[in-house]
Amino acid sequence: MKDYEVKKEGSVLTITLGEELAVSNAPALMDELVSYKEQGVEKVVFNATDLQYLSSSGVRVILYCKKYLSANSNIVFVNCNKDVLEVLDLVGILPYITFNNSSSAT
Amino acid sequence: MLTVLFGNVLKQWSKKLHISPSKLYLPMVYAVQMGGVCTIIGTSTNIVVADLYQNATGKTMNMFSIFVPGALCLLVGVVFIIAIRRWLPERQSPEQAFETATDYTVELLVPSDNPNICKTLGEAGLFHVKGGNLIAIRHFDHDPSYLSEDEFLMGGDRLVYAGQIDEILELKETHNLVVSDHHIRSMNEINKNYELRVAFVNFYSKLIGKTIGDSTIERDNNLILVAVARRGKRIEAAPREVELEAGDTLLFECPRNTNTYVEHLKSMLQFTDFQEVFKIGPKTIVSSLIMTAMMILTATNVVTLLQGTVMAALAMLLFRCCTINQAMDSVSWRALMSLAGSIVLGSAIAKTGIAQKIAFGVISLVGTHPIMIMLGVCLAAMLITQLVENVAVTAMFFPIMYQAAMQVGYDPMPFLLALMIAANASYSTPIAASPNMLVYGPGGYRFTDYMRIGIPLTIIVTITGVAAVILTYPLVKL
Repeated sequence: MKDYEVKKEGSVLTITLGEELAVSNAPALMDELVSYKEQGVEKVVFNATDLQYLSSSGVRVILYCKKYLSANSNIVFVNCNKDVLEVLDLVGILPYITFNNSSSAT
Repeated sequence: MLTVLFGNVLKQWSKKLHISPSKLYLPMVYAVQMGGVCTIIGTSTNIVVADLYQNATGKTMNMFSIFVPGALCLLVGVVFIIAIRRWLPERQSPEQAFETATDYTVELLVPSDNPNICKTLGEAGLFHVKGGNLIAIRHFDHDPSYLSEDEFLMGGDRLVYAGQIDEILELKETHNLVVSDHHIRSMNEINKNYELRVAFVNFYSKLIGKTIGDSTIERDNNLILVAVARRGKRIEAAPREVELEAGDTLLFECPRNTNTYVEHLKSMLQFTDFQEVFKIGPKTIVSSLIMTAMMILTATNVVTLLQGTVMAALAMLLFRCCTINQAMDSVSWRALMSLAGSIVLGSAIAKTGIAQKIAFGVISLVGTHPIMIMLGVCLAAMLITQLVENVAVTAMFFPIMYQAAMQVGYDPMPFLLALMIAANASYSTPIAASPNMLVYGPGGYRFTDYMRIGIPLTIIVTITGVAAVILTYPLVKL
């Protein structure tokens, strides 16, 4: 079930996530993101407004974006809830992410 | 106790002599057991026989009643072991195994502040490592990932390696990894004052059939499991997920000077590092003098065995050879209950008439010749003691031997001394006696090693014991 949306505007890639980013949808999202490799993406924005659950498969997607899509390691999370924040802290990638509380930040 | 004392010495000797400790441990425990038979207080079996004898006859056994037959058995046993020294098993001890083997698994945790996070395993240098292979990676949510060097490294990952322990543990220093049963956010949380200790799963351990991950042993005892090894087999699992078997060796990390000799831990694991190293000092001389005095007083029948031992214990406390707390801590309540239970069992067998019936059965089977009776009961006790605790065997066979001797009209004393030797001759299996079990892990032995050396030794010692008793105490009609 595809419960995410990927949109590229200029050099900004916006990924609007559904309720979860886990093994059920993360591999498909990853496959889709491969096509944006070397497409001039400078910033990846995850709209996490609806995101309730992030698994290690989901973290893998974020790490992929950081390594292969965003040349300047520019990853932004918008409206990230506390549980998701805890996961990002646990896996040690908080220092590599910018957090915003509104989609206008994109 | 002697096994523990000599264990450390033998470990050092084996290093100096460049021989496997397994060549020394088994002869040592056999000698300790054979030596113990030489006095009435040398083994719990002898104490039970002496006590039951006193209950049955009102007479006390002298401290050295068993000395001559016991010493002869010791001599013959030692000569036998020296003669067959080439066939003593040469096994790799767990410590050596952990140092040299390539088939052990180690689980390392990636703390949240690891500098390699966001890199792939290949880039971080954690996929191909010196001295081992990465065999699994588990992320924080236990999602087993496809093993590839392109897999991203995340905080909370558990990397399972198979290989040489020392090489893999070096990754802790070079790649900021840790060994931990819980998640570590920062390397600063790690107490560097830790040391490695090897333990082995006891035969009657509560951990058998369980995994360390399912137990609370690490949390309860401030231990951290590093690796698991099983003789001859590679374990394809993370250490905490290995279903444990008796004889498995475990490598733990724990704070320095952790006391691993606490009763509840000893019932599950036996630590092989023989930490109980006793210091020789003035108190050693005092306690030796007290022991010697006790031996002389009881041997010369100035005091009874019970009076002698109680007086010696009090003198030890009075001269501060040990504190009351140390004395209380050293009491093995399990052994004490086992002793008490065995005496009750012996009384029950005697009082219900079972002993008399079995004694009649023995006489009808081997005839009325006293030597045949002695030999028959001793051989039966010898067989059963290979599988059942010595004290229980003694309690079972004491009334049978006593009744059988009485039925044919002989003084039961020599018969019971022969029983002492037979019931103590438990050399054929690691479960036959606790000293055997104590060296099973440290020596890296197999079950069959005990049988190969122990079966002939048991037979030789029992037959020598019976012969020595008959020569020392001629059988006399009542």
